[in-house]
Amino acid sequence: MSTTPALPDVVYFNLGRVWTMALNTLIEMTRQKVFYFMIVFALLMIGAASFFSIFSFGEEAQYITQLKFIKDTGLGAISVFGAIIAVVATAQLLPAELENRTIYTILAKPVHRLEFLLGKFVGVALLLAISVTLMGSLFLGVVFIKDQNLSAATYHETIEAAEGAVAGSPDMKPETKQKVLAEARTRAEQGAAEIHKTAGYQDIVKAMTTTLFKLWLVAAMTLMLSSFATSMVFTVVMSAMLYFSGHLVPVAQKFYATSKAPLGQLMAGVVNWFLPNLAAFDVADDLFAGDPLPWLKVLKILSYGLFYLLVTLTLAHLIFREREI
Amino acid sequence: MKRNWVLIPLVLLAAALVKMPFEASMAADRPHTAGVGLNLKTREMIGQGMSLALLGGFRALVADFLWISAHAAWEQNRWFTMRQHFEVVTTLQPRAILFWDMASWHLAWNASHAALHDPNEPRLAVRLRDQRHWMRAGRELLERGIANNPNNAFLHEKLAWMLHDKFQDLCGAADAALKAVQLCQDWRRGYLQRLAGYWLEDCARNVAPSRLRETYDYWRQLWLREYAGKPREHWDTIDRNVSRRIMKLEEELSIPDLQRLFPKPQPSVSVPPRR
Repeated sequence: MSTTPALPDVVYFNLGRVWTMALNTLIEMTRQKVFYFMIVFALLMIGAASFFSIFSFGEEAQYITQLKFIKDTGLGAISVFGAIIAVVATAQLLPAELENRTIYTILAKPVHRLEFLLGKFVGVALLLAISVTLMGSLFLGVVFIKDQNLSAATYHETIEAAEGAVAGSPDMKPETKQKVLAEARTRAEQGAAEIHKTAGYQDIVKAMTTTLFKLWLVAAMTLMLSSFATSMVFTVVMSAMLYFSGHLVPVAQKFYATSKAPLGQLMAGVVNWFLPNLAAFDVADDLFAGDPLPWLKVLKILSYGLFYLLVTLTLAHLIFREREI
Repeated sequence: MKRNWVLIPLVLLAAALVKMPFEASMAADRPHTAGVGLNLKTREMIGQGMSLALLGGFRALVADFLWISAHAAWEQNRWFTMRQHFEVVTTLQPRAILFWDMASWHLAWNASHAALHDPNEPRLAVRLRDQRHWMRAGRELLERGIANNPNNAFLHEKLAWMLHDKFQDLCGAADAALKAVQLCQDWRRGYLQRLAGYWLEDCARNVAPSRLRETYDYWRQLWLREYAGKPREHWDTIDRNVSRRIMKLEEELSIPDLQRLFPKPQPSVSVPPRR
C-alpha cells in the first residue's frame, strides 16, 4: 500500500515561491546582458567630468557650474537608463513567458497568479536596484574626484595669490605678512569647504533613492499594462505615454484649476485624479538649489511611491487573475 | 471578469481619494515645485526634442543644454539668441542662483558693452540707447531672480554691484547691499557689511544728504559689533579706515563729545610756572 502524501486542498500564498521566481527573473535578465548599459553610463560620466571643465563661466561660479552640470548629467543619465530598463525589461516579461510557453508549466503547478506576478515585479525591482546602485556608485565616485580636484585647486590658488602679494610687498611688516597668510589660509579652507558643500553627497543619495522609487513605479505600471496587452510594442508605447503623463500631473493640476474648456478640463482631470505624480520624485532640482529636504520629507515621497506601487500591483493582479492563458 | 468591472474602478477611486491629500501635503513641503508650465512660447523656443525631454522630467538636463547653447551664443556675440536661452533656462530652473547671476551679468555687462561699441552702428545715440536696453534687460532678469529667491544674499549683492557700476544708482546700490547684509550668514558677511557702509556713505554724500545720520548710525553699530575692543596699536587697514570715517561723520554731524565713539582729544591744560 503506497503512502503518497495527500496534496492540500488549498494552496496558500507563499513568499518563498515569490522570491524563487524573482531570482529567476533577475538571472534571466542578467543573461540578456542588460548591464552592458553600464559601459555607456561610465563613458558618459567620465566624458561629462572632463567636458564641463572647458566651460569657464566666470571664476566665482566655475566650480558651482561644473559640479551642477556633472550632477545633472549623472542623475539625468540614471533616470534615462533606469526608465528604459524599467519599461523595456518589464514589457517583455509576460510576452516572453507566453512565447516560450513557460508560463503554462509554471501556472500548472500550485502557484498563485499573484505569486507569479509579484515574482516578476520583484525580479525587475531587484534589477533596477542593482542598476541604480552601480550607476550611483560610479556617479558618486566621479563627483568625489571632481570635488577633490576643484577644492585642491581653489585652496592652492588662494594661498599662492596671498604668497605672491606678500612677496611683492617688501616693505610689509613681518607680523602683517603672517596675518595676511593666515587670513588667506582661512579663506582657502572656507572656499574648499564651500566646494564640498556644493558637491552635496547626501543630496545625491536622496535624489537617487527617490529616482529608484519612481523607476519601481514605472516598472509596476508597465507590468500592469502587460498583464492585459497582447503585444509588447503596445505595452512599451503605452508605458512611455504614462511616464510622460505622470510627469505632467502638476501641470494638469494647474490646468484643471484654471481652464474653462470642458474637454481640456476633463482630460486634465483624468490625469490629475488617476495618474501618480511622477514629478514628485524629481527632488534633485530643489536639493541642488539649496532647498533643504529633510529625510522625513523624503520618506513621505517614498511612502507615496509605496502607496502607488500597492495600487498599481493590485490593479495588475485584478486584471491578470482573470486573463485567459 | 464581471467582478473586475466593479473592483478596478473601486481601486482607482479609492486611490484618487487618498492621492489628493497626499499630494497636497507633499506640495506644501516643496512650495517651489508647482510644476514648470510648458506653454507654447517655451515650446517654440526650445524645440520639439527638448520639449519631450522636459515632459520626461529632465528639466535640469534641458536647462544645462540650453545654458551651454547660450554660452556658445555669447562667444559668437549673438545677443538676442543668448537672451532667449537665458529666459528659458531661468524659467526651467528658477531656483538655480547660478543661472540668474551669470545671465544678468552677461546681459548688463557683456551685451551692453558690445552694443555701445558696435562697429556697425555709427550713431552714438543709437548705441547708447541699445546699451541701456541691455542694461535694463540684465537688471530685470536679476530682479526676477530675486523675486524667485527673495532670501538669497548673493543675488542682492549682485544687484547692488549692478546698480552701482552700471546705473550709477548709489542709493539703490546701498539699499541692495544692506539687504544682502541682512540675509548673508556666511564668511562674506564681513566684506558685505563694509561694502554696504561705503555705498551708504556715497549715497548720503552725493545724492541724499538726509541719509548721513543713517550712515553714521550704521558705521557706529558696525564698529561696536565687530571692531570695538581692539587696542589702537593692533588696528589694521580696515580698522583705521572705518574709524576715520566714523570720526569724520562725528565731526560733520556735530555729535556731542559724550556720545562719540572717538571723542576729540582734550586740549592739554598748561599750568603757568610759579614765580
